Amino acid sequence: MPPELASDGDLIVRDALRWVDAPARRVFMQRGLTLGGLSLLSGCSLVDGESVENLLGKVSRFNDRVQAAIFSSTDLAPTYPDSMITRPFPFNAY
Amino acid sequence: MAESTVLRNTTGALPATRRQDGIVFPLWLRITHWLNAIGVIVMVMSGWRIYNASPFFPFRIPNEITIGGWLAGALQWHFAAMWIVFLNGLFYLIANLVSRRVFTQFFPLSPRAIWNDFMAALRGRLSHDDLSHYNAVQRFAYLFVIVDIAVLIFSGLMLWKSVRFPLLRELMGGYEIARRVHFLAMAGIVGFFALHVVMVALVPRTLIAMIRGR
Repeated sequence: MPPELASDGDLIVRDALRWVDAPARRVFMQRGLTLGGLSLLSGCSLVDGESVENLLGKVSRFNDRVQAAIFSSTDLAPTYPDSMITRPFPFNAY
Repeated sequence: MAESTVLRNTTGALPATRRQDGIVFPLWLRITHWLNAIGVIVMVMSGWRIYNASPFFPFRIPNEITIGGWLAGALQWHFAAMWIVFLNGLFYLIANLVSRRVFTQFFPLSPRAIWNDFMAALRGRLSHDDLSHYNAVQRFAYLFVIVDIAVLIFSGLMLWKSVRFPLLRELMGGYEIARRVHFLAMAGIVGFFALHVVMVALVPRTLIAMIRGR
């Protein structure tokens, strides 16, 4: 296979570039096409939910250690009568 | 500029910390300003979601303008951004004291000076020629937001670990009162934010100065 036919991607870009003749527009389109290629890598984007969740999870585990450090087994929470309990009990994790 | 001579500024002719290179906002101030902006925006928007899980006023914040997706997600965002606001705020206070900027920029300050500059501002006659010099209204607004963030941090600390801070809890008047203090302090900073953005839109040079320093 000759080198200029290395991949389908190359062929598609070359095909598209034949339609843009003006040199300035050509440069612009070339960049656009490269950028278009980059945008296909959406899995590597910075706003990807998974990487943010990983980071938040790390901070959360750090917070667990902070909470453990400021916890005291001798200084306990004040107690309240049953009548003061909010029902249904509000979920308040973390 | 000839017209600047008729513009008044009641905080006096105290020559503020003027530098040879024309830098109005030192680098540490610009960095802490923008880190604080990011941190506070995340805190406010995730805080709205947390409020929605158990509202104590007869309204909810529209979920579309909140961060976190659900209560647990919002709590994770809130408890991550709190470190940015807390550590950045601590650094800001220390740098302010060490550089003595707090004394040259924010004081002297009197209610009369605030009132006079406020009226001058309403009449459009308050000078913004010198960005390094804060007028009395600015001094008051920035000091307000510093104190407001401190209130948010202390009330928030108490809400986070209520059991471990009994003194703080009693000072706040109990957990439920502390929630309202935390909420009202949030409203204060949102109000400041709105006014701040309007003022920056009116004097866009300040935005450039807060990015490149002059």
